[in-house]
Amino acid sequence: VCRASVYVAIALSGLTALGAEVVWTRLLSLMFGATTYAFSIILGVFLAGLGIGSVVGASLSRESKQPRAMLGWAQFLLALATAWGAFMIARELPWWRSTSRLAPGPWFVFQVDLARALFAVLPGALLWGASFPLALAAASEGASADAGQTVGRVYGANTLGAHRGLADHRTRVDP
Amino acid sequence: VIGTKGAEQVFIVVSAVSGVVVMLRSFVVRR
Repeated sequence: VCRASVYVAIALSGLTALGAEVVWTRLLSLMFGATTYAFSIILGVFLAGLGIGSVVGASLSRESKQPRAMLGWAQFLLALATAWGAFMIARELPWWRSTSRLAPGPWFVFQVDLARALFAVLPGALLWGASFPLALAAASEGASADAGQTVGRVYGANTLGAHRGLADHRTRVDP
Repeated sequence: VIGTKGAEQVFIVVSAVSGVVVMLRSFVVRR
């Protein structure tokens, strides 16, 4: 069974995940203000999405007989989730204002910013999180290699892709 | 330099293409 497409897909998943995270952090910081709190909110939502998505993806991969097809679906839905995030950040979220001078307190501003980050980032983060266990299950289909080798390869591909996504940001997106 | 908007478009295309390719490969593998 050829697993090259699984490794390439999970590498590209890592690339788009970290690439989009950096792009969205930059764009959302323009709305939230370039503070540690804003960055914490965005990173917190992203990591929570990855965690929840991983749990759901692991459960799906246990029950599914076609983890490779499910990985394909997750990647395809990620195209829609990325478009959703881009649309929300560009068109909708700037109108969800939380002017600190009019807000009853900082807690209110935090809640509005958290809601904005959830709406923009969470759908993609859930799917990126689900992709990893699905890729593991897809790479293990009919595998003779031991589990450690399979996990190492999938994790390596994912991390290399993520590194590429970050490195390209500096040179090609926003130098 | 493609900018943030261009990067988002690249991510959308990359995800869609990789998703379709993996789905097609899974169909071939099942057969």
